[in-house]
Amino acid sequence: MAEYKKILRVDLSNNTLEEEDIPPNVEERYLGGKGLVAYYMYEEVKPRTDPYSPENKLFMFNGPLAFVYPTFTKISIGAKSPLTGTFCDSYAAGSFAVELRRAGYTGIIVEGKSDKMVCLKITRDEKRLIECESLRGKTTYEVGDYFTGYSVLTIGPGGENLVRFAGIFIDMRSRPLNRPGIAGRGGLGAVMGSKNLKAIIVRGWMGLGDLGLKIDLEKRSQLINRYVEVLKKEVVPAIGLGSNLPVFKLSAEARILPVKNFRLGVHDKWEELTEDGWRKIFVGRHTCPTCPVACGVKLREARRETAKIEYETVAMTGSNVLVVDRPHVIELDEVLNALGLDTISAGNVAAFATELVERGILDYPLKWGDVEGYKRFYHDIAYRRGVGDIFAEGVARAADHFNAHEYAVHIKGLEIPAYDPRGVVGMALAYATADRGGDHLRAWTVVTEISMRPSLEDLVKLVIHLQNRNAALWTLVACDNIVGGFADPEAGTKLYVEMLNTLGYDYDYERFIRLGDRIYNLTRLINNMDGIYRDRDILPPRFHEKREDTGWRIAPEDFKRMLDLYYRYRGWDEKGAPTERLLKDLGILS
Amino acid sequence: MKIIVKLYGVLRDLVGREILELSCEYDECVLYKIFEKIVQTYPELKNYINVVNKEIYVRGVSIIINGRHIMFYDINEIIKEDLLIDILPPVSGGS
Repeated sequence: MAEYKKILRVDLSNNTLEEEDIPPNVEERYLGGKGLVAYYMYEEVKPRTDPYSPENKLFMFNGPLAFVYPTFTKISIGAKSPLTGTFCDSYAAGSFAVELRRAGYTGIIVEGKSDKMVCLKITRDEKRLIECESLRGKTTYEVGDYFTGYSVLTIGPGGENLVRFAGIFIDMRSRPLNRPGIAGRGGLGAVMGSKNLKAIIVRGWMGLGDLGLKIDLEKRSQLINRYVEVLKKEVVPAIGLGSNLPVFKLSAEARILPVKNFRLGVHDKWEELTEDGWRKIFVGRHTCPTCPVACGVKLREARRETAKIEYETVAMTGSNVLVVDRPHVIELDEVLNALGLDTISAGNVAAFATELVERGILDYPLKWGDVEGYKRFYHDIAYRRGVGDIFAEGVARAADHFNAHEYAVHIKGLEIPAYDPRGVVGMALAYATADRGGDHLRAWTVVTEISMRPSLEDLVKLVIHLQNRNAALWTLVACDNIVGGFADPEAGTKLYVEMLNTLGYDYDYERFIRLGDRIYNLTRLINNMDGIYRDRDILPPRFHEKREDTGWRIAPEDFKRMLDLYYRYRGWDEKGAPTERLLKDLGILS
Repeated sequence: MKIIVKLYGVLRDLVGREILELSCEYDECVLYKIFEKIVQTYPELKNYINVVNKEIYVRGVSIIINGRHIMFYDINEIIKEDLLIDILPPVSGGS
């Protein structure tokens, strides 16, 4: 029996669904997850494609370890981003990746555009598009509640209205059955909305024995036992309460918490939002299917509750706009989840708008800490009402409109997340060279356990290594929350390579990292073809200014030194393009 | 030269103070020597900062000197101005 590892190609324009195999030489070079997203985008989406056109495609891939080993529950979703115009991949947990695997699929490619609002339904008995006009306008929670008994991937009103930072949401329900997931960054929800695709619902049916795997079951069992020990001893303690909430105290103490649009690094009410603060209102945990870690938290206070919140949300839609009490942070989080908007971008946009109001540039009822004002603002964005229509375009385009670029904190159009790089300078390089724009996950440089010289050379090498390593891990698709908790990330990665090899692959650690190197250079090539070169690998003006409270800044000449070295170590030319020789050496070009 | 060191978070708790004051003169005012002096005076910081063979090693902390990250400095160069050194505590994780 051949292994079930197919792609379902969905043509919304022609209402057709077809299955296809992944060519062996593609799987060998790109494996799964991010690798396949990047490969198919390179092959099938022309440069400068309008992200809202039917020619843009939505790629969704799980990885070879999904459902075979515990914790590989994330799905890699990619498209040309309407926010940045670049390659964009975003990752969501929940049940979707596993259910898709249990339906026999490694991936889904969505192309074209439907005339009417539709949903894609995948079960044992049905693979088809179903009419979903009755779900138009529904929130992510309403859609999740509507489709009981399925894994539900959906957009909210924000995605339908093409808000450029609308996300894709998985398993959002008023009473979640498992930890929900959000692919927030880059506006992929708006791509889905542009295609009139409201949701994808999947109910898998296969067991492990049905997948046609050639697997060493005894070795698998041993590896699972070893992995569970590592999860218990290292990852669970590192996660603490969960949802990355423990990071808040560390960011505040290090003065790198974004406050008032990155003008300050801490505020005086920060202790309410630390792990200890959230622990007071903790009501339970939940987890993704197959994962024993249970890093999702359920919180309730003053009649507000949430089952989906993370550090970034607390920092960006809380501290950054001086909303500093937990019930209101939860309230705004739930508003954004329901509307289907990325909380990192939303908080960044809200802070930008508030600063414009403060400076007399924008006439809108909004001020720092104004919870009702932010609720109104987020609704205005989601429904594109009044000035909401301008801010729905994201902070970069809004800055164009108001001629206010000096206050806009983004890179390549992607709003910066909740770590001020003027305090952790490696993040400046990480943000500027991330393939999807200002992103903190491609390379998280602040590694606590490594003893290193604070040298520019070592830091640049670290950024490159992390970008390559993470690109490789996202082929599997490994969960960042778990990798971030490994006491020895290299040992953890090697354990994953062992898992891969039980499926008949032949990787060692170096070859696996090289896979990531290949993928990262491919996404750079895609971006080059979309006109992204050195002139876009830049920091927002604010990061070159002395911060109001500490005087920290990144001098342009210092950033240039970092970037020059980065290009040199990457083997890119002075414009920031991989050379043809490098692309051939990596097997991207023949 | 006057040297003010500001500690944050767990580092402040370890040493028991937020602000440290030191000074240096003439050829003592080289960064690696300044950090040797800091660690000698406040050995509680040894888990986070070490100077070995004129090289400064850090464990997870971020060091900012007069608003600019330490890695942009030549640690062998003689400093000719007063220094404000911010030592940020370790940060990890995050999404």
